[in-house]
Amino acid sequence: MKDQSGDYTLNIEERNRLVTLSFSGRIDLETMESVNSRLDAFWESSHPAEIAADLSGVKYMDSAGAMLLLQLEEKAKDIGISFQFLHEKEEFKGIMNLLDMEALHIPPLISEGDQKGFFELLGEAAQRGYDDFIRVMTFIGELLTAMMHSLRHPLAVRWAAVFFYMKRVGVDGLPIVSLISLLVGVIIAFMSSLQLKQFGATTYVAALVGFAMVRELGPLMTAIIVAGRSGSAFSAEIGSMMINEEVDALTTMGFDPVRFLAIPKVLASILVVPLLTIYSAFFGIVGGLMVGVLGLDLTVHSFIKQTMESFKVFDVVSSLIKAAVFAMLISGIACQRGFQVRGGAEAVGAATTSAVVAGIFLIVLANSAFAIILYYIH
Amino acid sequence: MNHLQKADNQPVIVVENLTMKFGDDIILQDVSFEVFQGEIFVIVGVSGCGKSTLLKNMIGLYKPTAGRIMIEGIDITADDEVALNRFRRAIGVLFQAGALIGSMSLADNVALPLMGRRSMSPDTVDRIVKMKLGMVNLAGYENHLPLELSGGMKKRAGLARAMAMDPTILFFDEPNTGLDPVTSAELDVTVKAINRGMGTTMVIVSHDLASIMSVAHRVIMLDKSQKGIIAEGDPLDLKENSKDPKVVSFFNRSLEGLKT
Repeated sequence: MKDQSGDYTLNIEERNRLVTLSFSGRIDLETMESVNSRLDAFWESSHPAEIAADLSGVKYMDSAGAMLLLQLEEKAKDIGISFQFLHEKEEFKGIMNLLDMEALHIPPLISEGDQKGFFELLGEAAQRGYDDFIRVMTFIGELLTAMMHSLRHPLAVRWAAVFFYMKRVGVDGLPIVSLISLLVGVIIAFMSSLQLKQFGATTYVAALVGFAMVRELGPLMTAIIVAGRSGSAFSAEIGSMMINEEVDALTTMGFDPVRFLAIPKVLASILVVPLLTIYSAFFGIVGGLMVGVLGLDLTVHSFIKQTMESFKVFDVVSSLIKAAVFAMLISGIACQRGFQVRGGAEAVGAATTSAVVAGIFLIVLANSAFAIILYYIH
Repeated sequence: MNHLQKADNQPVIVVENLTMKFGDDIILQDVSFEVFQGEIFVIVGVSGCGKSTLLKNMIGLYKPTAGRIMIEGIDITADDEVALNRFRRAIGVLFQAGALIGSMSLADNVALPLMGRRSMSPDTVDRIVKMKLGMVNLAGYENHLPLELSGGMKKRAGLARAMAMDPTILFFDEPNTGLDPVTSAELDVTVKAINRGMGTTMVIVSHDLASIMSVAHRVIMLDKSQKGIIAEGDPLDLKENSKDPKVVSFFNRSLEGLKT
């Protein structure tokens, strides 16, 4: 019986239950799969008392080929068949000696993750949620303590870093905030005009856009953009620093990481996000104005007059306070997620995603709270 | 000349007049040398002398500004993707910190080179992974993540991955850096065993004296001011007989030779 497959040949000769397996050519990674299936077939059809593996024709053998032959020997000996290699070259012995066949039988030290039941998974998720809540609360405590410290010792704040992040969050974010707000203004004006036209009330488009942009959409749109742009950047930055032991280095040098890394980012956000919110409201109104003047035959004068009458100082102030609170939530949770990073590159990615998702969730939650509180104050 | 530089032993690596510049900075100029089949060849030198740059040229990560590098008869400086892929299959590289993919288990890391290149049954891949991990004394660790391992274990796992395809040439970038003396010696033993057992040619960039003395068949020493090789030969011979003050101070770990 002879098989020729790729670069090897395997001759199987049986005489009085003595089987000679003559290998030749290449016994390596390439041919391994094919040799293996040939040997499996041999074990099924043949029941020898003695096996000799003749390697005289083998031109090349790598560690995979050596493993295959050693496993053949192992299997034969396991079932009590005497086995020997014939014409084994020195170089093949070298490779075979290098292999530790025991290693193939050592079970994994840790299992690949056991199958967990529904309740176990549910419990774990609940525990994770609880742990996360505690961590966030602890961080908020640390952040507030650090903020109080900064208020009492303003000179201890790294103002250069604060200005750097003000530029990053504010100046660099201005174009995208302006563009999106302008388009939101255009959309609100256009969609509402379609409805208001039916009642001949298109003049109220100005009031609607102004009120919506100043009270709700300005702060909300700005905060969501800042969460996506800057919240993700904050958590990725601190997360990479955690992995590179830079945060540990700061701690050993006597710096409080929260004060050193988080405070400049949080302060910069609190200072700059309200300004961005004003821009956002302004560009939203400009978007509405464009629709009003070009599509609804309103004059610029009447549009601006309507807009100015639509909101009061209280609305502007409350929207700025809202923006400052959003800024603190976004930057705070982003820094906290960054500090939470353990492990490698993957953990930084997870922290960044979590920073944005949690940031937007907190914005919406806080916005609901503001809606109720402002209703009663007003 | 050692036993591997016999006339009948063809060089597997030939570097000819290699020059490497970054912008206007010349890092290496007119460097030429050969590495022979089965040799453990060590590139030494103080920090900043261009060792790692030379290694990155030899593994095809950098393209030299001038000169030619022939590895196993393949000109890796020519823009021939097919030839380069053949070359990449023939070599294995152990990076300084192991360069294991953090999100994958050790088994998946070691199986990476196998996965991309041929169709194999999962059972075969599993057996090869176990065997390779066994060769570097990491049997049983296949489900561990890299972050669960010590520095020395990461390097050994990196070595298992570099050997997954049984390369004819293995490159090492400072394998002993950051290892304690015992772990470092263990790695040297593994390196020598693989070299002896499988006849693998090894090119090692190192400045770890103990390891150089233990494993090297032949060394070349690079120098920053000369931008090239200032010494070549048997490490013990260089240590004891060199006249060059830079070589003497390097191999004797002293500043004596540099005093004028």
